[in-house]
Amino acid sequence: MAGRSAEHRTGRHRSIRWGRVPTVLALVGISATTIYPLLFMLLTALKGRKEYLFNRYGLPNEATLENFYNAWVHAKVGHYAVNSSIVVATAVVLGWVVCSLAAYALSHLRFPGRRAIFLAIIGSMMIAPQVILIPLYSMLISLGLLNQHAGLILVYVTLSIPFGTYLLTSYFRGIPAEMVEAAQVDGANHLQILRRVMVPIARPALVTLGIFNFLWMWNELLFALLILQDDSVRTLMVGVANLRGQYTTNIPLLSAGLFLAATPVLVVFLIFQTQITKGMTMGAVK
Amino acid sequence: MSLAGRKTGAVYAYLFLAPACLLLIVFRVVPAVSAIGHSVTSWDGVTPAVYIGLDNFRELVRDGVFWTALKNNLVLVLAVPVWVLVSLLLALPLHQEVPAWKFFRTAFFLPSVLSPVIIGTLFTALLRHDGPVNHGLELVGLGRVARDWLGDPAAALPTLTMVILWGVFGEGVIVFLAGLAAVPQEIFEAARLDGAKGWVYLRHIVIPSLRHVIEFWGVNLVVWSFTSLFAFVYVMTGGGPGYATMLVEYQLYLQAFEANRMGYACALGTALFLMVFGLILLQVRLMAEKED
Amino acid sequence: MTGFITKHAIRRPGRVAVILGLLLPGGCRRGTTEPPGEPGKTTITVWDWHAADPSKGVGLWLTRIDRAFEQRHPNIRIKHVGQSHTEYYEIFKAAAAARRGPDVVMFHQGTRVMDNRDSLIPLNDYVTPDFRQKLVGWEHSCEGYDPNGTIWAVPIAVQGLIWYYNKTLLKQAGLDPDKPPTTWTEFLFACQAVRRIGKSGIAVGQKEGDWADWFANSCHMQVLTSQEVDHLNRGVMTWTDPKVAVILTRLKELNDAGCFQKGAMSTPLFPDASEVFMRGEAAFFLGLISDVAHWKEFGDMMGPQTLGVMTCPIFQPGPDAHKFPTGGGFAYAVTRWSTCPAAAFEYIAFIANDENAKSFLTEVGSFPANQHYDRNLITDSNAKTIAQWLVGGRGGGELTGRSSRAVYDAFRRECQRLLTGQTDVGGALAAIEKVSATERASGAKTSGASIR
Repeated sequence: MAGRSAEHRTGRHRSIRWGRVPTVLALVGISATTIYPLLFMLLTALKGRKEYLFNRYGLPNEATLENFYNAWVHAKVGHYAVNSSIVVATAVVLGWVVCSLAAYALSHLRFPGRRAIFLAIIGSMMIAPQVILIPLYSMLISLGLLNQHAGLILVYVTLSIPFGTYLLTSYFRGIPAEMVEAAQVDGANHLQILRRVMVPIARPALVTLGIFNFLWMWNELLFALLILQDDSVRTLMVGVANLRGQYTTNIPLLSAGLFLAATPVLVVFLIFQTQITKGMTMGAVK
Repeated sequence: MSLAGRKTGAVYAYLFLAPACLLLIVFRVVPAVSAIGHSVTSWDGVTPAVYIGLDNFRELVRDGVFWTALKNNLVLVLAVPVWVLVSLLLALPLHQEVPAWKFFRTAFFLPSVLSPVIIGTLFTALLRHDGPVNHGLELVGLGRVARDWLGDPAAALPTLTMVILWGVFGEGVIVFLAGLAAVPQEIFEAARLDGAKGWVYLRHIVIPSLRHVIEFWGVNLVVWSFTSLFAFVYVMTGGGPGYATMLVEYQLYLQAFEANRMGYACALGTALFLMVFGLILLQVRLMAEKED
Repeated sequence: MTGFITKHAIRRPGRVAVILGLLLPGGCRRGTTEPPGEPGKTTITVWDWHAADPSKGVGLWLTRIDRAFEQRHPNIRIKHVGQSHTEYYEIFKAAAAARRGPDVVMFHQGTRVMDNRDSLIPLNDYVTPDFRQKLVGWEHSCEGYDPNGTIWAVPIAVQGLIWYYNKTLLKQAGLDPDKPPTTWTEFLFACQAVRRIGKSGIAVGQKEGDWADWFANSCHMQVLTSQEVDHLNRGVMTWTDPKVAVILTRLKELNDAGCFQKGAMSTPLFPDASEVFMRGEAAFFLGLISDVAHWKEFGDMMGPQTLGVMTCPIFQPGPDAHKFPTGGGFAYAVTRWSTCPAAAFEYIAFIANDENAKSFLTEVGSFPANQHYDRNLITDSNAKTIAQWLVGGRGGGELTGRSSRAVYDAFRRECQRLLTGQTDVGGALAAIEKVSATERASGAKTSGASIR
């Protein structure tokens, strides 16, 4: 794996291809552009409404935590966060299951209609959400899934299938057929092959997929608004979106709410980021 | 593989594909068919639809707003290779673990953590004519470049493109990092021993190894640019000034929910779907040809 | 809870069964869509965009009203759902398509009500003559905009467009703070004077194209009669008519004369443009009379002595030239699928009653539709002026308030293009007319104006 062998630790590997200093400087510059807006959001959240009116871009003169408090109380961040967690965690896990099964079939099994099904799955990604909004809503009602976490979970899983299947199929395809055949010779059935051969090797991909899905599902607004209307099941982004009033937008309050809503995703990423770049381990398949 | 083996392979295949296909059919295909069916009707989404044949499509062809929106979408598609390249170029030094690479990786991914709503709100504030961006430009002596980024019809679309890039490049970096990590590292070793540098390294080592990943990410971004930019446009420009940043997806929304013309919106959606599908097929075919 | 079960059941062969189990109702946390739960109690579900907004008085006011209503009707429970304002009509449309959801719905009066009337019930049987007589603004939610027609929604608030000005700035510019400009020439002169002291003339927010639309509404009575407005919205009169062109020409004139603040094209009307005015960076602002960007908000921020009100400067004298547009504020309606329409209407009537009208004015600072309030309750001098104007018949109608959504959208966009130099007056109006004509030709069901 890159960076883990002794040779890589000496740094000889990286100094060869790019001039180190200019590269690092460029990277620092780009990092500044990604961090500053977030800092700006945080600073805005620390300003009182009146202060923001007169001091929009500078450091807060009278920093206050009242916006965070109001966002927590009025936007019911704690309560909604629990709902979001349930929905998103379940949808991510289900998504792994559904997509790995499909990806395995599409990458390593031979059967009639393989290419057609693959294209069909990808093709379904191209329908703009706005168009299916209303028929989908009616369908959920007739299935009794409105205002149920299950309804939103199933919609999220469905929405994640094309991307997830495509991603996992690409990665699974990269796993040589010899490994599969070796396991088959050992007497493993397809389910076991999937579990013991494919999943461990494609772990970076699964982690990546999990993070992507967690992200967009956590931030998703439209379907969550439509499907989980009752306050007891509502999700976080919806609660935060309601901080936008009809005409006025209390920017500091909104900033605080959005900051709180973004924190869990940031934390998740910080915890799992190392998994992502772990490379393939050769010869470790049993 | 023996005949029996192939058969059980097929059975397993269909079984494994069942959950995904079932979900897609129920929650995506059926509503989509319903929507496509409604494209030949005049419908406000609530009362019964009235069949009008191809009138919606005839109107579409004559609709100046649609063509402007499509043009804007195509401009975005042209930006996709740039988005892909930026992510790829930034992934390389990180893969090679330059000092503080972990920090950079986190920093680059930060924007992706934010929902488009917040990105849009943030940048609308930052890009104001008296905002930090213009102040910054003046500080470095580029005051003449400063302008009303989102209010100037000529600058609006490019600005939108840049903001979207900001929001999405980090994800690309992660995707390419994962891709680079999944490639057998011996390839990079061999290249280093051979003394490969810079552009040669990029073109002959990196890109071929990451072919599938690049294709995947490119395809994803193209489709995404046609179907998921709604929040950005909505928050930042509303399709304006005038129609300068109007996108087909946004026009669809306006027709469906503002103008109450769900039938026409479905026609727009159908047209959108066909176009995007064609684009993808084309792209996949091109990539496949390069392989051979 | 089912989520946990799912996670652990993943590797079992029964996973498919678990997935199917999720599909059956009762799988996860259950919310409610319909009256239920407590035996003997009726639940009225109310949707609006105010209840969820913690930063404004209306939300609190409504919460208090809900509790008061429940106290008076012990067998009724109010379930007040605050929806996000930006996705509001999308959500309602989806509910309407499935014929499920709220009993009571808030609407902006005008086009929004008309567009959705297929989902509402007529309220004529519930509205007593007494009640009808107390409220103003019925025509904005009645069939054909005729106050004697079918009633689709009950007006709660009165809204209107009025010009505000900063007395301090006028004084600094060498003008009389108590005599704001009344003619067009005076107005342009005043803007120039203000610019000379380094401030802007008008605080404008054209990001969504709203300001130009407001301006057109604000001055249209100088050139168009209400019958002509009706003809315009029905397609009997075309948008390319020279009378309409006058309005756009004046709009362009303001821009060309440099009356707007810098960056107006990308400034949202709310809150940014109003904040420009509140910070004292511009002398004039075209604002509202209720809710927000109005006398109360400006008064609180700027101090009421700094603020003055006036109507649109006149470029074409006429019988209605001194009027200001009043349109509907927000209104409540009853849905067609509601199982308790009588109770629902009772709730609405309660909101609109005399006592709540009073608190609407004093607590929220907005003009209620119910005119039975003591005008002496108004302490703010500007509000007093506005109230006097309303009583004195100086309130007029709107221009685009009754246009179809498509035309309204086209109007705003074409004005944007006009102000950024992408088109001229003739081109802009031709494009708007095209949208209007296409819409009529396609037989699209729109509220247009009075069709049925």
